[in-house]
Amino acid sequence: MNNKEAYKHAFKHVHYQKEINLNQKRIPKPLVTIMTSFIVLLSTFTVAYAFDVGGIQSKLEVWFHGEKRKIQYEEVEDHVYHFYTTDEDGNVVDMGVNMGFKDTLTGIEPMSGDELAKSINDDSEIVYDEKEDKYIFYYQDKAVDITKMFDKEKECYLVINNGEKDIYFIISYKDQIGDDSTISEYSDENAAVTQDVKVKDIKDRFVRIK
Amino acid sequence: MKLDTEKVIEKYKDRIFAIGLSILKNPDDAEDVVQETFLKYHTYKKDFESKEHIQSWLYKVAINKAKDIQRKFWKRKQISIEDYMATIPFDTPQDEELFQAVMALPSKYSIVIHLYYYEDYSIKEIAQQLKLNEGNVKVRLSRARQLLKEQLKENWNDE
Repeated sequence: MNNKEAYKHAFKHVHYQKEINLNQKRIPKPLVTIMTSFIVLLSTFTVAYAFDVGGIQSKLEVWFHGEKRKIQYEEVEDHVYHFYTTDEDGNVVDMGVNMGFKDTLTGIEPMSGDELAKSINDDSEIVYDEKEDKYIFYYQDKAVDITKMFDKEKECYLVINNGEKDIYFIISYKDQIGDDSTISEYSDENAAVTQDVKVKDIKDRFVRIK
Repeated sequence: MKLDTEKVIEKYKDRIFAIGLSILKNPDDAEDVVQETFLKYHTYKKDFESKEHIQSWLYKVAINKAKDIQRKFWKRKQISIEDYMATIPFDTPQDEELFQAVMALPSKYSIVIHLYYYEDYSIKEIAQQLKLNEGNVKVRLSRARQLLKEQLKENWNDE
């Protein structure tokens, strides 16, 4: 058997098993960011030493769970970076390993550590607070308890100004907030939420977070 | 032309899933790639020139979606690739070994390997799909083959 035959043979039982839902009211952003037991996770990483994991001391501060935090990163392989920050007690928090790509005039190129760090500021995420049994939505300096903000269609609408413009968030889930949430983000009120509906058509649904 | 979405899903869902898996190494994220690729196809208003154009478009969307997911730090609760592999009914141990070796490759190599060996793409087609030059594709393919050879030994032929 040649390599192509062997490769195809190895992948022949790889199948997509689930139903595809074509009735979603949006094109979802490709991120579901939910970490269960975040408070537990923080305690897992309580290491009481000065913030120096031997990596590059980035001068950047990024929004992390509603607060500005300094970050460090180290390049663990080509264009792959391991990021760290600290919690409110000064303990090191492992932010995980990541790499990214950017469009340039010459094609797609890998992002640098600083570029990846800056991209964190544009991220939103949902974190489950196990102690309080609630779901917190984080975006820049905003921390919003969204546990009871979902409507009957399991959708939650928020609008937050990022200092330059309003950003419209539509958060939805299928069965449980913690497991299968989708965050859709629109920076233009003329953006299409569905084929027939634009953000400006449903602006009254968005709760402004100040 | 635009083919009916259900027919396109039936034809391409497994292949899109495999592409997502080759980049993200995680079945939950690969499922997101599948869902969002077909949702985008379903809501896409323009016509395609041919069936080949549809395929190329689908793969471009899927690869971009996978790279977007890859950029993000915080992942949702996920099944590990090892747990996922336990659910695949491989025909032989060599199949399982090869699959595992591909999943262990860095994404920049595994996507090239996958497009070449599974999708039968040429170097030129891979370069166009991934927006690389052909030289880069050749280097990545060569390096990926080297890594697979180191891992699989006699179960991977020299090329």
